[in-house]
Amino acid sequence: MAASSLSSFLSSLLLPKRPSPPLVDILCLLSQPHLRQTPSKRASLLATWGPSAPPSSFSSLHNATDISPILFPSLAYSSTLFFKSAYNVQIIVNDNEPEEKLLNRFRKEVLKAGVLLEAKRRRFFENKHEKKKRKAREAARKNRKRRPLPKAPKDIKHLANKERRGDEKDDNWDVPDVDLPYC
Amino acid sequence: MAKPIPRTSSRRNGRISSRKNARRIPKGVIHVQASFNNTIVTVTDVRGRVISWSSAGTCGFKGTRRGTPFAAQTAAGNAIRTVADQGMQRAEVMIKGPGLGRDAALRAIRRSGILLSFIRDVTPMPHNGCRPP
Repeated sequence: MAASSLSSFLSSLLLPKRPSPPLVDILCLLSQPHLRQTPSKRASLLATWGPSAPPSSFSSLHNATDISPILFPSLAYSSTLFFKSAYNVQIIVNDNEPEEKLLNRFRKEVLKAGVLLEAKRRRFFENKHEKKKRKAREAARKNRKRRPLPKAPKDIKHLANKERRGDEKDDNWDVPDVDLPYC
Repeated sequence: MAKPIPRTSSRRNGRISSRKNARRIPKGVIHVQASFNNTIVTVTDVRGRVISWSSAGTCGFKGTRRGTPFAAQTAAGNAIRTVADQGMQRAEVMIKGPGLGRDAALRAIRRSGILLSFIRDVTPMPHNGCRPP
């Protein structure tokens, strides 16, 4: 596949230069100490070129989540390939998990995957206007969560006051000592 | 219905269907289809062959009451009661559809004492397919 050919090409480029010490450092940075498999040079090479994030499912894969998209590129599509049926969210139930905790975990995963929102949206057809409105609303919500509106800093107010006072001081309130023709 | 569906005689040619009504299956899959108006709970084996099913409508609820979480709870309880007699210990849960019955059915399944291995959400998502109504 393209991934393997690219990696082999890059590795063939790098091999004659004997890069072993810096690559080992990169590997140590990248990989977890308890990870079982570490392909020697591929991990570092594919670090910048990897598929998108692994699926939100598999809540029990703690160890290898950092470089699992590098090691197992097809893991991102596991929800469609594995288990003979595509799923959106999967929860693996631990032993003796309290009921409420399990439910909350399931609900949180579903919320993260956006299943209910999507189903509600696809229930009825939405034309261009409604789609635009919905997208604007979602963007507004996302922006509101990420960046709460910063308040105007107080320094500007102080400066404005000082400038005003300065202006008043600079203003010439004295009456000029000149003979006025019409007084 | 909260009873095993009887096998039809259409397979008499090649296959000898199992005589006993109650198959001993230790592991199965519980499908919960939770729509806005109803909740259907189907218990199948791992391959997908239906063992028994129950729904809020068959539990005696009518009309708008079928979509409530309580109805989903009773439907799930009904479905599992028949299957627990057949000796099912472990099950996977597949939940489909939006609806109020999702959480309630899951709670009832959990309380019934069956060991759960996975809980999966299999709501079908079109990749922009058919035009909705």
